[in-house]
Order: sequence, then structure tokens, then C-alpha cells
Amino acid sequence: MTEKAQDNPSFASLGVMDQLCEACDKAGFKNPTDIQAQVLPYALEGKDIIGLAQTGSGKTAAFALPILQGLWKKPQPFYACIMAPTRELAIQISETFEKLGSGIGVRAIVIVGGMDMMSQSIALSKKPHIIVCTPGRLTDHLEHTKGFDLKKLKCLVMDEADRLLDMDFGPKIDNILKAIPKERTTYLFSATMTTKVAKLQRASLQDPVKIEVSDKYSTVDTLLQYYAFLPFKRKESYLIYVLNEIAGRSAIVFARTCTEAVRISLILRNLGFPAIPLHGQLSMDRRLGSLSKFKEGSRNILVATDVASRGLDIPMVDVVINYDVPSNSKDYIHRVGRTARAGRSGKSITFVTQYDIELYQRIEFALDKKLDEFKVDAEGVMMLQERVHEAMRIANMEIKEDEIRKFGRKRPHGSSSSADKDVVRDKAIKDAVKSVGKDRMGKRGRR
Amino acid sequence: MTSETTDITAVASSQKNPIPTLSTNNDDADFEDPEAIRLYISKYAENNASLDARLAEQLKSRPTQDSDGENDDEDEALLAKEAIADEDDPTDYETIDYYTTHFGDAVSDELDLHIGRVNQGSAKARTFTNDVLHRITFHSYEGANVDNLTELVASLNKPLDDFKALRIKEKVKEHWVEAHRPKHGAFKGNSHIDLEAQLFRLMNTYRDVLFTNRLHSNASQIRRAYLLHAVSHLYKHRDATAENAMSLRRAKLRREDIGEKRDQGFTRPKVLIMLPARNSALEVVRMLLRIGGKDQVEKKAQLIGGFSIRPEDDRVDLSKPQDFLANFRGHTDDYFRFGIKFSRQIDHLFTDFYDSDILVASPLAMRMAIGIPGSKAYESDLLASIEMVIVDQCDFLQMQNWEHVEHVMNALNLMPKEAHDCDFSRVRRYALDGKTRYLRQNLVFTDYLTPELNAMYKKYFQNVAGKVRITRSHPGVITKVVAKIPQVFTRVDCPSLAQADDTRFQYFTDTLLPNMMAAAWTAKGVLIFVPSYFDFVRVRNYMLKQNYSAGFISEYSNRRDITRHRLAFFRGQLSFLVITERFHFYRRYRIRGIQHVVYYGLPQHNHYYPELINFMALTNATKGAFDAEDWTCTALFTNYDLQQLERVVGTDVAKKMVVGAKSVFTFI
Repeated sequence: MTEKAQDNPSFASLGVMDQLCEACDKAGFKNPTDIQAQVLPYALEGKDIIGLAQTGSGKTAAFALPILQGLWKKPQPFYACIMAPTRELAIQISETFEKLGSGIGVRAIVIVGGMDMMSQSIALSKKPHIIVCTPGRLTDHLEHTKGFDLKKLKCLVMDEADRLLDMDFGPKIDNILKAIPKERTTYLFSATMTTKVAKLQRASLQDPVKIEVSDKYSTVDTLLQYYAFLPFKRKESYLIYVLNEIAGRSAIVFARTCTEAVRISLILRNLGFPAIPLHGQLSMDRRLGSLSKFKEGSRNILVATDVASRGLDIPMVDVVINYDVPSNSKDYIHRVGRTARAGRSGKSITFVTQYDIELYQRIEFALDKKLDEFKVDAEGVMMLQERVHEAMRIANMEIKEDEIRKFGRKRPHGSSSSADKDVVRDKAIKDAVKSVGKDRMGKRGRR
Repeated sequence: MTSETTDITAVASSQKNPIPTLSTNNDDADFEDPEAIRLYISKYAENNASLDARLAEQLKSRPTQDSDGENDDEDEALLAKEAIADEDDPTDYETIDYYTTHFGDAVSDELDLHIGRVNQGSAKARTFTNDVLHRITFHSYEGANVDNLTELVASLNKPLDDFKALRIKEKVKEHWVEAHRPKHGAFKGNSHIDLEAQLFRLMNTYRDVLFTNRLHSNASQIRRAYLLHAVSHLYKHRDATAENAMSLRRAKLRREDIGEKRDQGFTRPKVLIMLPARNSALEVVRMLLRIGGKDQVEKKAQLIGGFSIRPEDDRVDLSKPQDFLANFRGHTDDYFRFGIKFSRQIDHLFTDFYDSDILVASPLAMRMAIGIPGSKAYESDLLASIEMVIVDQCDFLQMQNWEHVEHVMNALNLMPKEAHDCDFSRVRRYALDGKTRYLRQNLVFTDYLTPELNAMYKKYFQNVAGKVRITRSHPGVITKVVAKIPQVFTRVDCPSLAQADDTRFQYFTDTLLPNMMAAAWTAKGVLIFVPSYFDFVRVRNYMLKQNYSAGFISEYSNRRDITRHRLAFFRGQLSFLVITERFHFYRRYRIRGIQHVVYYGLPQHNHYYPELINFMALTNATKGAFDAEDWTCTALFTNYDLQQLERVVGTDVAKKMVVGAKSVFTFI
């Protein structure tokens, strides 16, 4: 590959037209990243492409630029359709399109679930150039919105294809493939090449160019990875200790389940950390709300489930904490991929308890490298113990309260609720409400 | 409304330095100030570099495809069949078809500019007069629908026989002529130099019309005019959509790309007619069916059954005045709504709302159908694509509850919440942008002008084609007072409109009532006429508190109370009788035993003024105590009451009465 020989190709030398080079410059893309440098020459030729690249490598721009350039050459409505696995990712992709394409007057819309069908139908009938969607809602529109079709689509992109297929979008994608013309350009991006992805590739791509940027399971060099070995019952205290150590920097704490994420974020808040939860049980609006609060920096600790591990472009995450060890190495890669992006340095800490040793060893095996131990001052942790326990107790009560509010009092919440217990609880709730502050109250009120 | 308009376009084009903003989405442009408009225009120019402009260029330069290759036998017929047979080639005439220039999708391109002018309120006013419409005031926006107003006004006098030039569909013309035949004998084209023709010509330009010279005697002429216009509109709409559907189908068979055909709104209902009661609805729909003219009408029996009553069941007193009978004869229920659908062969009545072309409803029933704004059940979708709203008999509607009308007006042309099976590829672009309201034609007909109607004219008439207000200078009704009675008009000067009610009340209690009580002969047989119910309550509370010997009758009083009070007043057991205008409107009793009339405020219905005074002559003459010397008539008015005053004393006099140092005027 000639382009690879070149040390520092510029966008212009890759064949990107002037207007778009300018837009890249404005958007802060100085030099093409590896994937961009490799994808762009083929994409601009009009080839189908399979890109295997990790998140954060700049692949959104790698497909956005050729699409915009093609659109400029031959403007038409419904030029390209980009499918993404999550709503957040779809919104981010459309933001990239707007950033790069505003100079040439591109109109992109986002068609994702959880939003009003009617206003989407109206937006669609205004004939935008680019549709960024989740497959489910798009098929909905193809079936139910009269007067909307994609018979003239020129370009299809499947972003994070492995994830799309993991989320059982397979049949929906098949439907969409049936509704669009066979003569088109197709890009398929995936973090990993699974058998399902290979099947999808055979079904949708013609004579594709395969571009692989880095090895399957590898992490960026600038990422400092640690593990911390700790007893299971001290997990919370260790978390607080670590967060104290890194105070002031932004962090994502990954938990395995939604309830765990909620519980941790409540504990953190009770202790005065600006934490917000992000998980699958939140409504679309609140997910976006959480994300934007985090992005703008008013809260710098995000407690998330694997929902946030991929595809979300959150700038400036300094530390990733794996509160629970991820269940497979793929997830680990995605999680730690949230930091040390775009050449910056970052740190990841994985909590390993006595029960997680096997899982952890598997990850180390997949990474083919031994991680350093994160030094924790056990005395310091013990000193936090008491306060952490109090915070946990309050958090547990809040969760129970919340359940009662949701499902009514009938739920079995402890048959032996004696009078003085109630008094204690009421006081605790009052305190909790005080410390949690207005934000949480507002959310409750809305329900 | 300012008559001074700046030449926006000129300013903009002279600006050589366009602002480099390239967003094609101009929805958020702020049109409040001229600077924003200028900015918008320069954006427009710049946009030529953007994708849309390039697309347009390409479409133009693309060679037209020839379809020689494929000729499917099956579709031969369809392909051979050219445009709708019903209509002649539209290029035959040189006149403008206002339907296309006003509602066509092409208007979307520059609509924002016009909307900016509407919102800015930069309408230019020009007034003309003629014998039929009296005073015609145009409010037009620069650039929109510019034609020569003088020419338009001159053309109003032409007879209504140039149907082709007016672009009325052949079918509609036939029916209309047919509908006129029985009444006029053989149809003569030139027999219509009248209100009907003039109104139609005005409405045909798709301007908003506020017509304030309605009378019960010209009511049917007005109705024929707006129905002809509405039907003509619907036929044009139907033919255009049918033709486009056909060419889209043809293009699909030939596999060519003819681009998009956008020719409709979100939902089907296009015309909304608001009427006060079932009797007017019956009359209007009958007339509509004659002009719409199909041989077959579905569910006509249901119309007759539900909207009329047998003459022998009609308990209206035929000796009451004509204007009362016009309103209250027949079925007077004020809760009804139904849809009418025009299909090719047959007219359907009582169709599902979403499947109707015309909605006929009372404001009350429409409001109930819509629901409360902000609530989940708020259902404005069926009004999303109304292109023409007709409000007839506004005087009656005001006697009912004007709030209902405003409620409905507020619900017009909002973005629908559901698709209702709408084909989005056919929806016009301005509709998608939620701007239908700026094209909707508002046609409002009333017996008299009120502040509420003026407010409506200002607030809801947002049509970019401009608006017309038809008024007249009033001769006054003073001369209709039979007896020679001194009529004293007293102006109560109010510092502001907000204080008008208080000032009037104060004058009434502090000066007028004590004066009347001062002399024994003026303290009995006093009828106090209070136009508004709120004032009525205030006056009643005051007089009850002060132990006046008085009876009070309002529109809410029951029949027994009314009879009791009237009788007591006639017998002199009650010295005062206080009534409201609504009571008089709905009941129209002849009130006997009056010796003095006090107008707390002047009536909106100007003919009530002489009517009440003439009651004195009527009743007292039968009693044999005909002594005009003993009768008085006092009317209060404020400097804000010009509209009512001019209808009573005449425009010229009224203008002098509301200003100046002199505040008491006597007519004999």
C-alpha cells in the first residue's frame, strides 16, 4: 500500500476535496488517523469496504468523508444510510456529519427508537441527504410511513456490525437490505470479525477491500493498565479510595448490572462525589441527559453498564475503573478503550476479587500481557470503611423507597418493620434526600 | 397596520457582502426585525453553492428521457390517456389561477420571506369604496400576490360570467348556474352585478376577508358566494391531486423520474365552516349540495331529520322581527359537527372526520371535539390541514360564546401528532414546515364589527396573500325612533380602556341613578339596558344592596322569573327593570310599561336601540297615556365605544361625539 509508505499523509493528499479538508481542519482533525489513511483512498474510488478497527480510532470520519464527497459530486436526497447499534452512537455519528458537512449544506437526520414517530416521518419527507439510524426504527418507517422509501440509496454503512448482530438486529438488517438497491456502495465496520459478521459481509458487500488497523485484542500503548486485588466485601471502600486518589479527573466506573450501577452511583453521591448513572433501564431522554451532563463536565464520574462501553465518543476520560471484571476480553477492550483515545494517555484499573481470578486470568491471556498491580494503602481503605458503610446503608434504603414508589407498598420489603426502625429510616431518607440534592428530586417529580 | 413599508428586497440585493452561513434549514430565522430578513435573503443567495442548489441545477440540465423503448400492452391505455378529461388545457388563459399561485408547493421556496413580512405587520393599507361592498380596505404585503388593486376593484363590478377567466372548473360553473336557475328563471350571465359576484371575486384571490355588512336579508347571497368559492377550491384541489396521482403512476410504469408531486396537506379536511346553529347549517349544506351538485347524496335524510323540525313543532312566535326569525326559526340546537366528502360520483354527508373534505360545526361542538390544549386527549390533527376557514354569523356566535371560536382558531394548522395514513411524499413542503397557517384563507362574516373581531383580524388573519376588511359608514338608526323623544347621549370620559368599566359604573351609580331618583316622574318605568352580563351582575348587586324596587332579567333567568318581572314592571310594582343584550337577543320580548330607557351601554345590535324606545310608544299608546313629554331616553357611552356609537348615531356624527369638550348630546 503506497499510502502506508507515506509517513504523514494529509487529507488532501488522500484525495479529499478542498471544502471537506477545510471542514476537517475546523473540526480539529489535523492529520488522518491510521484507519482514515487506509480507508479513504479506496472509499473515494467507490469500493466496498470492511474495516476492522477499535473504537476511538476515527472511523466515523473515515466513512463520513467519502460519503460527503460522493454526495457533493452527485447530490440527491437519501444518499446514504448509516446503521448503528445504539441511539447514542447514532446521534454522535450525525453530529460528525453535521460538523464535517455543514459547509456544503448537508442535511442529516437521526432515526432512532424512543422518539416521536410523527416528527421523524415529517423529517424524512423533507428528504435529507443522510439518514443515521438504528435498524429497528428504520424498518418501522419503511413499513409504516407512506411515501418513504430508500429505492435510490447510494451508500450503506453498518457501524459496529458485531454489536448490531449481537443485539439481534439481524432480521431487521435483512429487511433493510431488501428495501434498498443492489447497486450501492457498502461499508461495514466492526471491532471484531465474528462468523455472524462474515455472513453479513457475504450478504451485503461486493468485492470488498478489507482494512484492518490493529490486532484484534490489543490496547493502545499510551494506556496504563492496572489491576487491584482486593477482598470482595471491601469493594466499595476500595472504589472510594481509588476515586479519592484520582480526585478531579474524569472517570468511568463500569458495573455489571443496572442495579449495581444505580447502587454505586447512589453511594458515591451520598459521599459527595459528582456521579451519574448511565444504563439500559433509563429512558432515552435521561440517557442523553446523563451523557450530556457528563460531557459538559458538571459531573465527572459516570457509573455505567456495558451500554456505554462502546461507540460513545466521550472526550477526556482520564480513568476507567472496572468495578466488576468484564465477563469477556472483548468487553474489556471496549471498556478500557474509553480512555487514552486519540493519542492521549490514560489509566485503567480493574478490581479483582477472590472470585474473579479466573476471569481476570483469561483476560490477561487474551491481552498477552501481565498488568501491573495498582498499589493501594490498605490502612487508608480501612479508615474510609465506616463512612462508606453508612453511605451504603442510605443507598440501600433509597433503592427500596424507589421501588415502593414504583410498585406500591405491597412489595415485600421486610415483614418486620418495627416502629423505631421506621423512625431511623425516615431520618436516613431525609438525610439522603438532602445530600442527593435537587437533581434527583426533579427526576422523581417527573415520574 | 402601518402604511409605511421599507423596500426590503432592494436593500438586500444591494448588500454585496453576504454573511457566510450555509445552513439550509432556516426555520429558526427570526423575522421580527428587518435585519433578520436581510440576513435571510443573503443566506438565500449564498445557498446557491449548497447541495440543494446543485441538485436543482442538475435536474434542469438533465436530458428528458424518452420512453420509446417500453410499451406494455396492458398499460397502453393508461399511458395514452392524457390529463384529466374534465378540464380544458389550463394554458388556454392568461389569467392567474390563484389556487396554484397561493397553495401550490412552489410557494414554499419564498414563503419564509413573506411570513417575515406578515409577522412584522408591514401591511400596506389601501381603501376603496363602491356601492355594493361600501368600504373595502386592503391590507397587502409587499411582494405577495401583487396585482393591481385598482384593477381588481374595477373588475369587481363585472358580471359573474367569465368563469373561464376566473378559472372556475367547468363542472362547478354548470352547477352554480343550475343552482341559480329556479330563482332567477333562465340564467342570464350578466344578472349578477351584486354582492355575490363581488364577494366571490375578492375571495377568489385567496385573500382573507372580514365582511362586516352582513344582514339577514343578504345572508344567502353571502353564503352562495363563499360556498361557490369553497366548492371551486375543492374541485381544483381534487383535480390537481388526481392528475398528479395519475402522472406519478404513469411515470412509474414508464420508469421515468418526474420528481416529486407535492399537492396536499397532512389530513383530508380542507374547509371548516363554523355556524351558530343547526338551522343555518341546514341551509348552508343544502346550498352547498346544490352548488357541489351531484345527483346522489348519501345520508341526506339524516340531514333533514337531524337539522330541521316540522313546521308545526316550531314554537317560534312568527310575529317577532325578521332578524330574530332568521336566527331562531327551525332547529336552534348549537351542538353539531359533521363531515362532508366530495367524491367523483356522489356526495357523502356525515363522513368520518378524517375522510371529509368539509367540516361543518358549531364552535362549541368543535371545541368539545378538540379538547383542552396541553391535555393528552387534545385532538387537533383533524384541523391540521385546513386551508379555508369560514365563520358565518359572527354576531350570533358572539352572543353564544366567542371563546369557543378562538379556541378552534388556535387549534388550526398545528403539526399533527399522528400520521393518519398520510402519504408523506405528497405533502407540500410548507405543510411539513408547519406553515400552512400562513396560507390558510380566513373568511369571516358578521353583522357588525366588535373589538373581538378586530382582534381576530389582527391575530389570526396571517395569510401571506393579505387581507381585506369590508366595512361601511353607517347612517345611524336615530331616524327610526318613532316618537319625538329627547335622546340624551352622555359621554363618560375614561382615562384608559382598562378603567372604562369602572368609570362607567361609577358615573351610573353616582350621577345617573340619583338624578333619576331625584324626580318622582323619572323614578318609575325605567328600563335599564346593559349590554354585558358582567356589568349586569355589578349593576344588579348594587341596586339590590341599595334596595331599589327593581327586577333583573338576563339570559340565564328562567321563564317564570321573566314573566313575573315583566308583569310586575308593566303594572308599576317594580320601578326598574334591568335586562341584558343577550336576553333581548335570545327572547326578543316586547317589554311594556316603559317610560324611560337607560342605555348603560349602547347595544351591539344597533336596531335594538330604536326598538326599545319604540316600545314606549307602543305600550303607552294602548294605555291611552300618550305623553311624549314624560318620556326620556339616556344613553351612556365612553370614548372607547366608537363602534357601537357609529352604528346608532351614524359614522360622521359619532366621530365628533367621542372627542371634544362637549360631553352631552341631545337628539330629538
